[in-house]
Amino acid sequence: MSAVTSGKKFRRKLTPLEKKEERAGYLFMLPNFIGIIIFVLFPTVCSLLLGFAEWNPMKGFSDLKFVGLENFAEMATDDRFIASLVNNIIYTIIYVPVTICLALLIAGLLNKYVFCKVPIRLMCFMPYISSIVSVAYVWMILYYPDGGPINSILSALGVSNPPQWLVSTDTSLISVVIMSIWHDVGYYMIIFLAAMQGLSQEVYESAAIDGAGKIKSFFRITVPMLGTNIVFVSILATINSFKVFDQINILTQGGPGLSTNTLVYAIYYYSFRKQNVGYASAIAVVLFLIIFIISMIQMKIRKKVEI
Amino acid sequence: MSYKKRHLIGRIIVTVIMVAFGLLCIFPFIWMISTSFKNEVDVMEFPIRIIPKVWNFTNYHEVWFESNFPTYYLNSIKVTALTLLGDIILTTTAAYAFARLRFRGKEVIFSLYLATMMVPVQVMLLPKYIYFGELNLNNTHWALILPGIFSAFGVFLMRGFFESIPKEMSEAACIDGAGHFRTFLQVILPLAKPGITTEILFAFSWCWNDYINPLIFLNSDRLLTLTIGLQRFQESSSTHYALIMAGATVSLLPLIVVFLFAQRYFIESFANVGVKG
Repeated sequence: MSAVTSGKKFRRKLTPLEKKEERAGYLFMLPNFIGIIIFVLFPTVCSLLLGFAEWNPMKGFSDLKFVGLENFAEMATDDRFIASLVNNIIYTIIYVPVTICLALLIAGLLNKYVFCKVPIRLMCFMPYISSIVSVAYVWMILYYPDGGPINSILSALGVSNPPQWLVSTDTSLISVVIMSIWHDVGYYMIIFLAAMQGLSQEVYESAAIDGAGKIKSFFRITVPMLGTNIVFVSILATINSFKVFDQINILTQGGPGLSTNTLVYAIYYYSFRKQNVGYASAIAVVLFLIIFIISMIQMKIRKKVEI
Repeated sequence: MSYKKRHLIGRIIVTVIMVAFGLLCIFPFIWMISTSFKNEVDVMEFPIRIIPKVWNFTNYHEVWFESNFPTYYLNSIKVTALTLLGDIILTTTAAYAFARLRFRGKEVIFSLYLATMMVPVQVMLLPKYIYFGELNLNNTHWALILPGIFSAFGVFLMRGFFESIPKEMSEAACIDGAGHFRTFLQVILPLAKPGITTEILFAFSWCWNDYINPLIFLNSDRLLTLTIGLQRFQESSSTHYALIMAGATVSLLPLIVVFLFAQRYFIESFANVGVKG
């Protein structure tokens, strides 16, 4: 981090060359920074402030009044918000471990034990680059309870009472999770695969001499050596799981009932269906806090690893 | 010898399992394409027929000639192209300043960039919608393009790539009398090609697949991009599943074709960013 210390040099008077460099620096950086202020920083600050306000934008700025923590107090008795938070946590608890374990397993197998690795990797990664909207429509029909492909296969396999998938409140959330895992697992897999290819081969060779089997060396060598990668990818997956929206708006619109409402869906619902600016912003503040805390944990771990 | 044989058999078994898994991953795509050529009555037939009994091309005819898909296509291309162009220019220049130039306030500003990376885009949607309304940007493509151009993450990414270029290279150019602009254009940019490819592929797939922004900022049918256009199309064709699958295929095709041609770059880019991420 030499850049941090070099900042101090500017305490003294600048030479003409340094002045020129500084001018160039601002010239290169400002167009982007101004845009970031207008399109990122400003709306973010507004959102954080509006979380403590009540406002109907139709009535102009005079209608804007600050109500302190009222919006946050309202959440405690709002079934929709509570359901969104709980659903989102359930979503995360299923999505993160399953996706990470599956991704690790596939990467481990692909890394060493297969022929034609490239086409298999391609097939696993393909869902990730496809737009969620398009593939969600495919899954919507695949999930169709009466005579849809998935249930037809299940009945053919002898399942007498196949699940109702998106239609029932018991299975709607898990149906969305399954589609999300299918969509994302290839992404986490290629991250692990790239990390595995960076591991030194000598450890494996000496383990093989000591008589360690393939499965043993995967769990005793590969997984521990990828430790920090696994932690970071898990954090990334956790953050992503709190941003889930697209597939929910396509597949279920939060329903049936409140069974697939998530935090972003609640923000969308209160912003654009109910035009409840203050309350929607307050939920946005909650989402921001959750992601902020997770990011802080990530930075803490990163610092520990780098030292 | 028997160890080698066992090894080979094991490898074949794992390969078969993984191919099966890979096929499972792409099954929805295969089913989508196959259904898009079927008659509506055959969509739910069982056992599932991958090759349609009767080939039906009218779905595609309807998607292409009787709906607004061509417009959605042009809109997506326009929005993505302009966003990418602006993004590459402004991201690389800013990243160059952060990677190579000294100026007052650099550390503070860069930590602001890092902080904005933590803010989910969903948090700022509502304030953006309100003040874009004041600026008359709502229901125009600029509501997607302008915010799309400025990417804190892109700057962070490119700065990393620029910093990995040896300092001697740009210093040599400086000694030869090149100004900062020429050094940037003629020395740094050509050396950072892998980084730029990564940024382009990221911004491209993000922008092309973006759903929540067009959902909120666009309204007129003639302005819709493919993701939201597909949703409109689905709403108007209710339960004509074969037709919807034709629409989904048409909307997915360009990205999949690009991906298949550039799959090595895609996979390397996404993996690299993930490992660093």
